[in-house]
Amino acid sequence: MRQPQPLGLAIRVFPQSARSRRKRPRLKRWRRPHQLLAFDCEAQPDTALALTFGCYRYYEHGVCLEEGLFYGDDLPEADRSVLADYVKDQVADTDPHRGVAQLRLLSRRAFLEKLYTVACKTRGLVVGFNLPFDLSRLAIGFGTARGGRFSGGFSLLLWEYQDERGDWHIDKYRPRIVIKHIDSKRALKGLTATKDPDYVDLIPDGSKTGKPDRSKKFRGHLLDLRTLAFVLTDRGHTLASACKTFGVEHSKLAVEQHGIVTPDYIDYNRRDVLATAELAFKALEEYDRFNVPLQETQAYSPASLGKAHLRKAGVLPILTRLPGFSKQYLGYATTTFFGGRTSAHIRKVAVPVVYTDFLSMYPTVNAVMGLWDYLIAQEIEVVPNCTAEIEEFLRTITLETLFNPKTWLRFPAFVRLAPNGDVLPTRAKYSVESNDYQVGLNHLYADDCEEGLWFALPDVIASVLLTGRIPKIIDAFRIVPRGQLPRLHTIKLRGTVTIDPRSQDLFRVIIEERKRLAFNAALSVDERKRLDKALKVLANATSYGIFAEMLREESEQKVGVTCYGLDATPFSCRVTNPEEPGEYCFPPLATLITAGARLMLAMLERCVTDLGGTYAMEDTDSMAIVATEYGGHIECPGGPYRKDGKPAIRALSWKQVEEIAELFRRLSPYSTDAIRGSILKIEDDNLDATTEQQRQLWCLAISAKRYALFVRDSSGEPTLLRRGVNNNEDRYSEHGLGHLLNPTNPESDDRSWIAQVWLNIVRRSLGISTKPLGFEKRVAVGRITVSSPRVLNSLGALNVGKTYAQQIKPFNFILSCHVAKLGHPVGVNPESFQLIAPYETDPRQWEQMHWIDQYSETAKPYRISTTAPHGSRTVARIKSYGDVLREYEYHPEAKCVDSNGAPCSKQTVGLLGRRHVAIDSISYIGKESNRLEEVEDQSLQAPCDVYTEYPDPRRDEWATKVLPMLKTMPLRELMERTGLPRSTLQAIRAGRRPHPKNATLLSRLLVR
Amino acid sequence: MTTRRSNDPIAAGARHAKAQRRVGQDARCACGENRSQALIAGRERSICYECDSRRLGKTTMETHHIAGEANSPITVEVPANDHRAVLSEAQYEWPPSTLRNVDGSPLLRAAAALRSTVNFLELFTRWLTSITELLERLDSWLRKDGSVWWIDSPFEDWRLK
Repeated sequence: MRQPQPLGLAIRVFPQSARSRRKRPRLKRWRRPHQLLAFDCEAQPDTALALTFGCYRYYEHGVCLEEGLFYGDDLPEADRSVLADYVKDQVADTDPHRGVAQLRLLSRRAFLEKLYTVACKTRGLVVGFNLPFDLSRLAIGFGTARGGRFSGGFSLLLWEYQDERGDWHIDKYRPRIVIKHIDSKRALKGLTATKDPDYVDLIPDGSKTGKPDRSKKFRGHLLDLRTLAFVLTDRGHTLASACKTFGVEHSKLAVEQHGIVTPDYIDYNRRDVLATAELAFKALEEYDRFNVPLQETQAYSPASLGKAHLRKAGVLPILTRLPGFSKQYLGYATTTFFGGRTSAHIRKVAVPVVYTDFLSMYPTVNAVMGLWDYLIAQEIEVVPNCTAEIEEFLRTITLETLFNPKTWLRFPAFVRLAPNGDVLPTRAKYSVESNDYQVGLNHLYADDCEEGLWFALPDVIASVLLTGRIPKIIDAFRIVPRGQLPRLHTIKLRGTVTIDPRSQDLFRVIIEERKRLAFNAALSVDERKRLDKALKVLANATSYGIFAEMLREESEQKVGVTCYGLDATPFSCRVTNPEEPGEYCFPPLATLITAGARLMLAMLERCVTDLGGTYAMEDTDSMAIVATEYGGHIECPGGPYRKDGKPAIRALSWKQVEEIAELFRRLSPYSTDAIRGSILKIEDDNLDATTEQQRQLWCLAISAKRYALFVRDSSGEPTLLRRGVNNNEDRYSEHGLGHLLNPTNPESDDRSWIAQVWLNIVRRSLGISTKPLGFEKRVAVGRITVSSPRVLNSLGALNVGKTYAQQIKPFNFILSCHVAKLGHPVGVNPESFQLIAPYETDPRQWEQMHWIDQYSETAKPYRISTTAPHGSRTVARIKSYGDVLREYEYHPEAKCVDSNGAPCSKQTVGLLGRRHVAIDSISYIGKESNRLEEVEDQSLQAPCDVYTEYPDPRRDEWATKVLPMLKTMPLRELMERTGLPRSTLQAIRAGRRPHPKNATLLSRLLVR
Repeated sequence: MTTRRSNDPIAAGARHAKAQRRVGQDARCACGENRSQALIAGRERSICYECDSRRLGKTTMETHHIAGEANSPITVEVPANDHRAVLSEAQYEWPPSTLRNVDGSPLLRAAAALRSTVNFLELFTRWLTSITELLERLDSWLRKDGSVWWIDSPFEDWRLK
């Protein structure tokens, strides 16, 4: 046995905030207003991105009644003349009978009057694509939103009034618009309350009586189509791609040059607004097909849609209907939560593979374990003290029994065990460099950990399968569904697929119906495609994420939280960003689903290794199994076999992989008339796009989520799998590079440069010559959005003395770059140092510009250099594309070890193994996957920005390390060496928390 | 949405929406009147101005300044509901300078007179259109069993000869 390395583990905790104010969505149906205002702004292509002009269209009942242009306050007279001449020459594209024929030209203020009328008085839909950006162009100022769910967001000032002297002032009788950025696809938006509102403004939406109600705030109906398109397709879209997806008749046009007002440019903008309006009608039509009691302006993700379906079916959230469900057991279950299995198993060696993928992994696992019964159960009973029963069950576990679906029905259970080399999921900071939590499947040891750790039963079974031994079980409990909820209703998915929740498993039916669509000749091809997409989105949205949903609050003050974790009694702590369980959050289900998925991959791993084979990488629901047409040995450092005297691995034959896939057919929960094959699919990527014959795929993996699949021609030349070229999808990951600007043309969204990078990495691994990329020496710069006042505040010095139009505004783009090793300027804290600068598309300017540390309050300017040997007082040595790409290519798979048992380093190549990890300490954290985009673009560096830590005084360093050692030291010696009185030391040894100063003193003493 | 063309559809939409909000969603008088401007706000049960007047034993007609109060003292008696839902609403569409005519411009007075005539014609058009629709529906209802209903009826004299 290898010597386990002590590591601090982080586990999840179930928090209950003392300040829970989140409102649950109402089940009330909403009547959409008949009035719709669509608009779009064009901005100067400079750092301020100030409004040049824009266009709006006003609709009632889908008929366009008014169209007009508006212009920014600072627009030069010459440009205004172009607009004025344009409106003279053109007529409005409105309804010939009822619409206004004249194309209007308004000032920004005049347009804002119209916007105010529609948004606040009419309460119509205000529609845009990327609405926060457009609203920010129209604003005259901004502040920080305070309190409630908008806390930490922007508060935009839009409306002014003119006094008798002609001066303009903020109109306090009109609302502000508050916007809280969630990610690039979503933002919370709303109107604030106003001073002395009119009687009619206090009447709630949908009131039958017309009586005012001061308790209800009208937040406006601000609809961002980027969000709605995401809700309906589970994909991020541009206006052009959304128009294509929803079949918009007048889609976006192209324009040669942005920023210069010409008739062509005005045509382009008018067309954008027409496309936006048509997209709104198409997307709303699609949304209406779901027929759910959820206002489209309140739908922020496919999960919102999924939850609305459950509500409609009468499936109440478990913790709402069972408020007395034991928090202690919820805490135990939450500690067992881990994400999917992702890792590179063969690092930086290109190997031939067959790429396999589980059919809709989470819905499938959900169905196989029969978790729908829990969702519709009247009661969920906790059956404690099942240790003997679980041990007995574990003794029966073999690969064969796991292929019996009945076995899976017994999985909803949780086990506390004292791990001793068992292969279990562990969340730890495996790399000092990256300093982030990763989940690895490792040999875990906790010899001196008396109380042990909780794990979901599928994880324990996976360990039994992979190690062949049953762990030492300390405690166990099962959850069992009892009865069925009354008032469950039959629902129709998208008006087509009928589901009776009393007798049908929603997740299973959705997947089956999706597959049946292929044979449904009654539907048009387009309709089939849309329904297929909608069902896929729904299945994924309802089968997992909603049970794990934790909502992180932004707050400036610490809030008291009661936390349920490993111990039978909760602990309390105060944190600045408390989390609150989402509406349908029920950690036992969430953790069973991901654990079930990990077990599926463990079974696949076992099937492969039983035949002597191995795999190149795995990613949640997929695995690239090393295989060739006829099998054989392949050279690979660290491999257990020998080929030509060198270490090698065994490749399975394609037939063997097919046979393995076939084994999983038995686990399919689906009706055979819908899904004939196995749930483990040999992906279409393995088939030649033209001949549809199986082709030899190759895989090169660097680390988790960094891999590429490719094919090789007869001379060995590699070609990546690329969408529209030789495959249906791109099969090279952008993870870790996606945030960088296109180095060949920073203004272009073309990401093909990443394919170029990957091809060079692949060629180097194959020992084939590579061509220089040509951009290695350029500054590696990313584009980020000014998403919060905090980011903008750091740029405050650049805005001083400028009008709002000329300032860097909310939702503008800014540049960010990454400091190289030893490149930080002298005297800064590298832990929280991030250089940002106003948006500039000319790379030649980047090294001349002033950059500012996002985390600094002084706004000290820095210059950047890619050639300086290290940072100086005013210059930061930052990474070039070459630096970034080298790091990318050598990024270690820190959670694994090489063939000698040493932690995987940058230089490690070949077959990786599992680490042996001893529990050094345990800390509690919240959801670690918050603000993923900002983590990816490295605009967030401080861990507290990403996840919440819940300090447990019973498990901190003082309680677990210092105090036990203090107790072993003679009191006299302690008194002599610290100078503290006897009574103080006695009280401390008896358990009283010392003053922080004394705690530091004692800790230092023990370290010495 | 009114079928009439508005010079400022956004303002018209807001007026309509506010009126609708005041009387409550789906408000409708027992007589069938559902134009929100013709309904009285704040009542437990929706009621229109005409029915309310009738209930109180008052006249259901209201006086309407045909060219706007600033342009002419001439008023006409019009049904209360149409006064509020059609004629007053139509005057919102007039240019404010014409409606207010602060300095009594004769040309604006003349314009107001023409505008009011147009508004009345629109109102008549609506009435006449509804009567034509009624006649057409009645004809189709009388023919539903295939009979030529005017034969041997007092209406035979009106048939095409």
